[in-house]
Amino acid sequence: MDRQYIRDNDVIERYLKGALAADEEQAFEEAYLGDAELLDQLQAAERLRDGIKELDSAGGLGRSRPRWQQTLASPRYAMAATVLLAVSLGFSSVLYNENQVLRGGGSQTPMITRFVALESVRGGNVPETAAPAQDELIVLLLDAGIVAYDTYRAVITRRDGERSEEIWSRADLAPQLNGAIAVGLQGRMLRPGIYEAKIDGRMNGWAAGRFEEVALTSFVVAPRE
Amino acid sequence: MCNEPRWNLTRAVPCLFREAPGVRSIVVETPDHALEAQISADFVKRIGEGDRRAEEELVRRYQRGLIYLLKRRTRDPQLALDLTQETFRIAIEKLRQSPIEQIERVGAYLRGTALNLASADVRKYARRATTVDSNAVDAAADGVVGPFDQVSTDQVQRLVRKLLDELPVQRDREILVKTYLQDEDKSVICEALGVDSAHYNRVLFRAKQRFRELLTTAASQRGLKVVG
Repeated sequence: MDRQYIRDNDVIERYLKGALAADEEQAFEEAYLGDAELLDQLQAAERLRDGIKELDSAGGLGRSRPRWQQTLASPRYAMAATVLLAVSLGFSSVLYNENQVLRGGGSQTPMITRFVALESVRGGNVPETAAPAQDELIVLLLDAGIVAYDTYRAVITRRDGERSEEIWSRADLAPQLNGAIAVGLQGRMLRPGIYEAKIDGRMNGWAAGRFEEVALTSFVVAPRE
Repeated sequence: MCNEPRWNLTRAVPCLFREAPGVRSIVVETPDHALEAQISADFVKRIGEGDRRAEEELVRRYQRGLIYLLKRRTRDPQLALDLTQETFRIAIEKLRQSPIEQIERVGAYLRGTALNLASADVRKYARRATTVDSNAVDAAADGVVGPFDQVSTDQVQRLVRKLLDELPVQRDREILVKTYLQDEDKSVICEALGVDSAHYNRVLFRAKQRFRELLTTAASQRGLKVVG
């Protein structure tokens, strides 16, 4: 039983839950008996498994938030954001580079007035944000996933029943802000409705056009009160 | 030709470098059946010739794995240690007497012996006084721990929390939770989350790798020597 077989067939996970066939179990045990590296992998996976179960028992699961979201939610960040707004962060080169629309050239650079952190949630509440003003700049912070791709592509789509309309896309993106992809959109692009933000990843050397899906997040732009 | 066993780095690497001075790195293959057979033959030969260092190497190589295996089977750490010592006693006695190549795979032989002991009258075997004259067998009772064994439960929970927080995509966190908490099969998880097998493998592999790094750091901060 070699490493590739063990990895491709989830042998460690199935061993830990006692789901290997007898011959597979024997082969795996003989493999790790004299293989310190494989034994390390097995013991680390076991601690991870036990840790998740213990954390769940302690009620610690379900409150997990990405580090960058914790940062955004912190008072210190809020204070910093206020200061940054005061000095017109709209000139931020990171965000500016992410937005082709802005680079296309308006005569006036809009103010960044809102950060919207979007987390991919299945079966949970869809994130909602109030519709921006026409000249407002909304910065979407999107999950970049755990796998480190060389570049990313972001596509923002507005959904209207069966119809969907791509309102913004850009490839060759790199994660910013603690691993999030920052996308700046002018307020007039986000009229009330349902939207999807899709992030795909790509490795250098892949065939042209090949991407792998990283995250797909829906969000709602609600009418302004 | 370098005849040193390739799994024994302290002996094989200097030997290979002597033969090929231009070599800057050596790829050491992971154990497979052929290599295991080579290792076994080396142990059988050397222990049969009365090489006490070979006995120590045998214990060093298989001790952690045997203790882990026996702990899983018996759920009794002390009994696992006793049975490990007994397994080595039986194996070394046999290897000292056996003609070359009678035991083709030492690992399989040790596993079989250990499991037989565990499933037999384990207490009787485990408490029996060790009779073989071998420092290696005595050392097997010391209870070599894994590099992560001394990381406390609380610490592990904090590391799991950290790992989950480092996964920005909810879907990837769900892969871990469904795999390790809910014990769901890969195919079920992939279908439920709309991911393919390659993505699942990648997330799980990276997450385990990262968790191992976190464990290793935590263990080293406790002043332990981290192996591996």
